[in-house]
Amino acid sequence: MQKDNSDQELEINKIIEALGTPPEAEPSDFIKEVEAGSRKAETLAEQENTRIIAMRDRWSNWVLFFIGVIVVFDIILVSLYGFGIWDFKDSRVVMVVITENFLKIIGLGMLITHSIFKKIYQ
Amino acid sequence: MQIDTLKIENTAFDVLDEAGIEEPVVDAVKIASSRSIAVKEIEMPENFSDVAGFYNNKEKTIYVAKMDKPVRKLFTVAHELGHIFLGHKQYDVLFRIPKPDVSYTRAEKEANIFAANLLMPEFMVKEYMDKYNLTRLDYVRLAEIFGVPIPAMRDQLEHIR
Repeated sequence: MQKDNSDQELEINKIIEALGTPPEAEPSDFIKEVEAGSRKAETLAEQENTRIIAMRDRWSNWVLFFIGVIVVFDIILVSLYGFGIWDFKDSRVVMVVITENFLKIIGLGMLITHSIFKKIYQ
Repeated sequence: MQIDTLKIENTAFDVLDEAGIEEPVVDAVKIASSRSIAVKEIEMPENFSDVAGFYNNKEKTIYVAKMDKPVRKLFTVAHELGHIFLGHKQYDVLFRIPKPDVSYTRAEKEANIFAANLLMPEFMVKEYMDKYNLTRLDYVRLAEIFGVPIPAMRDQLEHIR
């Protein structure tokens, strides 16, 4: 329902009339409350951000370590097979192991980055 | 005629610039007093308990409902300042909860856009999102930082490019 201008004016006038004598000015200190709430929220945001950055540092080191372990494992495996120390009889075994490890690396990276750095992906 | 959102955004930006405000919380009461406009908190008369605020042009006073939360009061002041800075001749009282049967006038919509851009200007919101690594999903935290009602921040984030 659209109100016309005279209706609007009437509404304000009705409130002013109902108020009677204009009330004494009360110092509007609600802004102080708003500012206090804001400061508190900023502190929390700052703490959260610091925690996230610390967690990101910690986990990125671990992710790097796990990926390193898998790569070294692959190198050793291939070397052992290549120098004839190990013989899997069927060469497809090695291919399967390497493929599986490669997928592990991709999966690990994707899983961890998506869960830890969720905010960045949103 | 369509509402010129960009013009309203620029008006709000100019007001902030003139007041030298670069970070939240935007003190709309201070902006009002710089224009010799008083802000008073009152208990709304009976039958008008759903009114959040209004501007009395004769007294140069913005009245806000005493019982409202501080963030709501701040938004009300910014909304009423919108009417003043946008040069509206006629405007309604601001209802706390939009009435379902009332389609708001152009002036009311414009005042809301002004209030949103005064209290949560795009440059400031983006700056704080970067500063604290926040996303649009962190609208509650952003609302707390900017001292605005949560739905207002959610709405503003939808409009930020």
